[in-house]
Amino acid sequence: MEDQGAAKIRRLDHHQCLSDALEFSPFQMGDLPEEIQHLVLSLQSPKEAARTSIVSRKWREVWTRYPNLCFDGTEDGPTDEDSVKIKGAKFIETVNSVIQKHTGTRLNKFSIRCYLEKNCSDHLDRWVYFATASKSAKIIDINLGPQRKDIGPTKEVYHFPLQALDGLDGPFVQSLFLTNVSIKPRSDICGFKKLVKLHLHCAEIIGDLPELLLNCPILEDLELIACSGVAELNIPHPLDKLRHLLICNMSLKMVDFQVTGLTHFGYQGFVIPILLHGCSNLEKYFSSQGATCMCLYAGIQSDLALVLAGAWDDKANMHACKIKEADL
Amino acid sequence: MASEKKVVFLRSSDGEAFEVSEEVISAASVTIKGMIDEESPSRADTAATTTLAIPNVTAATLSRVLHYVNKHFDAAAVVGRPDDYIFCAPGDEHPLARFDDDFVDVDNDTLIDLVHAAEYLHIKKLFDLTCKAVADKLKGRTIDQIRETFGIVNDYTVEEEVEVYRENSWAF
Repeated sequence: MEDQGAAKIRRLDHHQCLSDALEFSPFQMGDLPEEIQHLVLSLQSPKEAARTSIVSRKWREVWTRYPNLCFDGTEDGPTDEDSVKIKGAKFIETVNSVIQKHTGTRLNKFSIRCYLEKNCSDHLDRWVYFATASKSAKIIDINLGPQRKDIGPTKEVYHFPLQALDGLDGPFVQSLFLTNVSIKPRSDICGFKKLVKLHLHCAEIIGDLPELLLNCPILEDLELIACSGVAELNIPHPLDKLRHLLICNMSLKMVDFQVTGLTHFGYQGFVIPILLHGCSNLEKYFSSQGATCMCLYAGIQSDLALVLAGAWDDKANMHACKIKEADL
Repeated sequence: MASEKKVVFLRSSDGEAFEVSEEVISAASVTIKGMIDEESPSRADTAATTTLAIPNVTAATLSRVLHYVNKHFDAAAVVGRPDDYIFCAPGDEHPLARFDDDFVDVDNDTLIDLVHAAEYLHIKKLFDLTCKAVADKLKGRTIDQIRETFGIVNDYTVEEEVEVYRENSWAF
């Protein structure tokens, strides 16, 4: 006990000296380097972080560089701690208010989860350009049909401006997740140099998807679920880095990929020819729910293509053939 | 590798020297590993033990940091994974989770000192642990409590504070 007492006194003395020297207590949170303050604030939920902006001017500044802005306007679903749940009419107003104050600096993730359509295009464009103008954003997730799942896009979808990702000095978006929007891929849009994950769910694709994929040199993960506007997925150039490929409920006539590094492949839909050239590393196939899922494991030699064929609602008739490419 | 265990001395800002195994501190601190690597050529031909000045860290904090580092290194040795000896993330179910919790259960000044030290010495897991502890101190606090806890002076005018409150009303 004596030791403790002595230590305490010593500590108080020590503290007293420093306090005298620096007027204030020297170890204020406000004195932390911005880097640390930023990190500490980023560990708070966005609501908690926003509240701290009332503490002082300095804290307000740190809030305007909060890294993950995720807004959820849905009535349903679990409340995710990392996202701001705002129901009903306040949603648009709140997002606008937050991004207006946010500097864009250090933004890492920007996500919108809300039922919004074409009539909200002005707002949505502003948000998308806010996120891409920040240059630091790595993840952009625009989900405008949270419950659509496999139904396909709605009629009046928002048109997502892919060209917003263009720019020589960034943004260097690594993950792009789009649900219930339309996109117009063009060969001259090339803001996908750093894109690793591309998930298109219920997207209306107007234009050339292969051209878009041609501009994604390091793409590893591609999901296409219930997208419209694509009849054939014939990708003529190799996607060497692609490891995960999931194709579900697309009205496709055929799938033809050159994917030497593919390890996971999943397909769900009508029976069509699926050619995956050169994927000798296929380790695992996805098995989604229900009997309509058709997947295949295969270790294929490089000169063979994988062809899936069979009845889409009758797994018993499903079979896989390995055919030499020359015979196709 | 030499058979005897090499040690280095770390001298705190207030002049106290602490002995620590070179292997342990190199695995833990990127900054000190860099210092040791720089020293290496001149050390080869001398038997003298190296003393490194750590000008940004006080004795009280440095001794805490070394306690953390040694504890984690020993635990990793038991598991047999010395390479990533500080592999447990804060909050993980891990034998050291309890130790970590107790380690950061300190007053604010001490905690902030540890954050600074972990940053300066570049000990990532300790930095994450201490930053998370600071973050936890903010959770569930009112604005006034946060100001009090961290000794922050409210520098808004009344009008400004009302305005900032209004623009963040969605968060309340």
